[in-house]
Amino acid sequence: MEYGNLLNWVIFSPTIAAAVCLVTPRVRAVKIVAVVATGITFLLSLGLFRHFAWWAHGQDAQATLNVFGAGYGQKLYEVTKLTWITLGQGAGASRIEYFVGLDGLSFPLVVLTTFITFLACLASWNIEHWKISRGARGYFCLFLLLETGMLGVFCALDFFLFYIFWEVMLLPMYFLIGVWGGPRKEYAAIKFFIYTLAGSVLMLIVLLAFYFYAPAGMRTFNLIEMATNAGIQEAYREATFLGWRFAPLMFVLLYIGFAIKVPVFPFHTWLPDAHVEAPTPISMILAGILLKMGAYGLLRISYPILPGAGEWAAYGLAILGLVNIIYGALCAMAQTDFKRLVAYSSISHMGFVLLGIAIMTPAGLQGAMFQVIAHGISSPMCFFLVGVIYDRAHHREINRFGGLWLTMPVYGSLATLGFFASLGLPGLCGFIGEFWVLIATFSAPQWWWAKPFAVIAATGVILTAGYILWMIQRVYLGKQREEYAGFPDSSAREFAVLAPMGVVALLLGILPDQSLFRFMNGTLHQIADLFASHG
Amino acid sequence: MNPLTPNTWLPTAAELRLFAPELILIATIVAVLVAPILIGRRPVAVAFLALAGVLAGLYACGAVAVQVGAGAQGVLSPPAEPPLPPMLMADRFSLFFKLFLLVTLAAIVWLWMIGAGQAQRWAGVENRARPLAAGPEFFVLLLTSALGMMLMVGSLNLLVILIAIETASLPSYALVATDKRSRLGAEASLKYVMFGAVSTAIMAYGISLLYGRFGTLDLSTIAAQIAWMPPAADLVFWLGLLGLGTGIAFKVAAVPMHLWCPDVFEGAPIEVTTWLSVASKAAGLGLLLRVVEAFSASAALSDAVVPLTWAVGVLASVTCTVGNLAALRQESVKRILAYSSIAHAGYMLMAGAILVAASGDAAAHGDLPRAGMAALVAYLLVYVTMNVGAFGATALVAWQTGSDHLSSFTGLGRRAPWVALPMALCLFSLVGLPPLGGFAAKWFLLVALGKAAGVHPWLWVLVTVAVLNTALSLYYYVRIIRQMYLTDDDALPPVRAPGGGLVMVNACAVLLLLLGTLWFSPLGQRAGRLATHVFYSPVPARPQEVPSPTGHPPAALPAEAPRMALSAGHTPPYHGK
Repeated sequence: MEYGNLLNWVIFSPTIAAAVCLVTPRVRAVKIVAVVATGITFLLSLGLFRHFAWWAHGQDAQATLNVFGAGYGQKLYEVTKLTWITLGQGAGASRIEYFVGLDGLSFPLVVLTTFITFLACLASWNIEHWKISRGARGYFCLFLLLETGMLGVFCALDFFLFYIFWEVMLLPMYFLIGVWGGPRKEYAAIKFFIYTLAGSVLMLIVLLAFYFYAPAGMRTFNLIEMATNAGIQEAYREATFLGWRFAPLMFVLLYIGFAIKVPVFPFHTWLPDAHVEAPTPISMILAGILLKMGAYGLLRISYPILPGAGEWAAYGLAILGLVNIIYGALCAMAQTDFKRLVAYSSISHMGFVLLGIAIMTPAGLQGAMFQVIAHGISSPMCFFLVGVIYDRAHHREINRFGGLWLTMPVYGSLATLGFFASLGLPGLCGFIGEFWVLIATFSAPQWWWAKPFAVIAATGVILTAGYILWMIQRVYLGKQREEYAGFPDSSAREFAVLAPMGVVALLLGILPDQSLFRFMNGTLHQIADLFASHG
Repeated sequence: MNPLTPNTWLPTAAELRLFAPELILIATIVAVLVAPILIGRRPVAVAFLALAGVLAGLYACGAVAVQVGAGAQGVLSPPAEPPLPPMLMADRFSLFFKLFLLVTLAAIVWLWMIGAGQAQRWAGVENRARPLAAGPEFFVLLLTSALGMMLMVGSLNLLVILIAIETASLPSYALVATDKRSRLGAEASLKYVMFGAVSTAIMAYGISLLYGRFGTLDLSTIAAQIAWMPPAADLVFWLGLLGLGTGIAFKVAAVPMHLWCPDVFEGAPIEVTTWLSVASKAAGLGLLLRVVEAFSASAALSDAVVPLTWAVGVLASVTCTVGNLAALRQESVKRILAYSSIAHAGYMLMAGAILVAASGDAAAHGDLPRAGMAALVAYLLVYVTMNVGAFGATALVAWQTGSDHLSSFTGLGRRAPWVALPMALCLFSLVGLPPLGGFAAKWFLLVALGKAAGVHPWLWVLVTVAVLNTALSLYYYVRIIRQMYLTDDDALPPVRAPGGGLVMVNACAVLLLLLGTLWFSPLGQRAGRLATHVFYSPVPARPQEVPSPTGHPPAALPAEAPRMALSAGHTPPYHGK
């Protein structure tokens, strides 16, 4: 473990900025503070690259060992470990810690979070022109608090702390959707809130059960410890909980909690509502980062701590993944609301993540994580693309558009890039993730169902191509329409939001290894090793 | 001994000193009653008088706590050989609750004073003018009910308990109807009286059964006696206990004795609602813990521990769930908070279930009772903060708009940001969301439940019920927040709240934020220490041995003896008349 304070700065800079926003007098100044703060947070998070700089370490096994350590959780960077709460007294006391750190699993997500949040903050710049423009100060305060919550979730290595950040993120999100959202904002906001809270209280049961089912003296909330301590693992395997086997039950409870966030069919219904009603920047964050928390939770908590239960559930989870892919794609195809289409495409894309995780092979985890990051780039881009034309046309009916590329050439090109990235065109980020998951599923040796499932999942790619190409045709191609002829092309600000995402999408698609895999594969292999050692 | 009437026992000044808080409160009551004769009906002056009395009582309470902590004998009982069980005690346990009650009382008086300022502002305006004239009577009633509650937590004598509960209840009935022109208030008061009368009757009946069965009114003596007489099949004992429990359930507003609660909370003036929601419950819980503790030492009940825990657990779960479900569709904020307080009573009863689960066999449970008690102490401390904050904010809105209907909260985020923000924080804290105090309270409760589940695994059911209820309760709390922030009507004027009120509600909110973050750990530690002190303080002069007719000191008997005796077909030695 390498101690350091950089991560604390990354997590809490937004909080400090939120406090500054509260006392900043003018709306314009508040906006500047917010953008500068998220920008600084992004720059700070770039400083984290020095720990994972493969170009400085070489590529042999020894270099991987140097960077990622010998086993899961043995090499953590920028660790802070402080006792926060002491439970019990005397020798038997155990501690809840403020324990944050970085490994190959959380690092890409932290950078993704700061990156997308910065762009989303830029995307909020025109808040005065929104339909509900009041309370810009409140908006940016909540926005910045949200960033702290999200970063905290990805960095927390103590289960209790993880839970706190997970919940802390809920409140700002509720208000951001509920106050600044579209016509059905109240419904969408409360639905989001209740769904997520219902999931997280199940997590709370697991949190307590993990603690109390560990043998006395080993009780801890440390996620690394729970995954690697043989005594605790043994206890979890053997225990029963109210007559059920402990590990599968806990796995299911956790899974529901995370599945709501991902979202997995049939817990997905909050997502289209929330996405459609949320203002554009919040949709970007929802799709780009919040959905990833579910996948991250599975990879950080469920699978490392309960690998046996993961194997027990693999078949069912893989089916859920397939359902997500196919069902999401079919729903997307049926939408006439542009934003709803993108929302359902998120469900479909997250299906690949679930499938990749469910098969529990190193390649599967790699594919899933790649898809997580790729979707984290492409879906905010798509939502912002939708937002751009919504700002101009004030509606999102796909069938009422047409020929936008002619009117707005720069925007049209970027839009094509973004949607192709989402579609999974080779050379762009979406392709690598989906392809990797399909290959991994097809070649997973331990499951008899792997090959047919891979084939079924592959049809999802075709469906995706179907609805996205059809949408592009209806919106961007075709004859130029009279009512949209006067639309200005994308402004400098819009270009500044879109271009970085486009560049990253290209980079991930062309150099997947250098741009992402090498930063995380070490840790993903260690997680897969946990499955193997479990036997 | 009193030289004038040699056969009458009177406590000495030294003995009485430890009951200074009560005595000061009584003096204040008299002063408040007499004051109008001397200075005329000046409600605000009387309020200051009452506040001074409460603060003096608080000071006395602290001083007594120090003395008791140093080992002073805090009992009132006539000298006898062997020593008689005490009528009234001033141990650490009761002093904690007295301190708690007095702090709450001070907050209520403060709230009334803020409201009085509002009343002067709105004098003559229909619907908004509040009866100020009732000031002196209001404080007499309020302080008397506080006195009753302080007595409730200080005795194990059934008769004293009954009198204390009545002392607490009777003024409350009148308090609810302070606003004479309010029809809702009158109706609420009547309902309260009816429910109170019935539950008192049931309790008195239960007490008479216990007395008839055991020949004593002292609970610790009864507990010691059943060590000789396994009560498993003793119908009279259980009926008596049930009657006693009914009385307590009425005070706590546990299901099914909760029906009075929403109507009363809605109809009463908001200060009274706040007072009842916090103090009445705290006193009831204190009494419950006293009773549980009295029996917990008795190994004879170990057969009954599981069913008893079940009973309390089910009661807690049902109370919690019913409260939350009923709150979902309410339109009056006071009513929502009333149901919320029922739900929270359910959570606190879960801590009671831990204590019951841990009773019987002390050795096997280690520090479980302490954990349960600590959870309850932490919960109470946070609960009072949340409720004073939420009711205070509601009061500020209701005094301005003349109604506590949800619609009067519309757009409060714009109309009164510094009322809306603390209100929102208090509500989120009531849900139990981090990083607020409400989460800390719930967390300590859940940890204590989890710990107790190590002994009784099915207590995990309570954990599940508690967390699912959290998700359930979110909906109705958020309805208020939605009304404040998500809806707005530009036609509505800003709400101007008095400075004192703003200070009060914002202080509560800041306190909750601190309790959920920096003071999270200190809260748990302090509560743990307090619990150690209050729960394990030796109750002075509590009879360690009960002289038995057969001459066997019970202490010499192994704990298992009664059960063995029963299985051998022996009739256990019978006590009492």
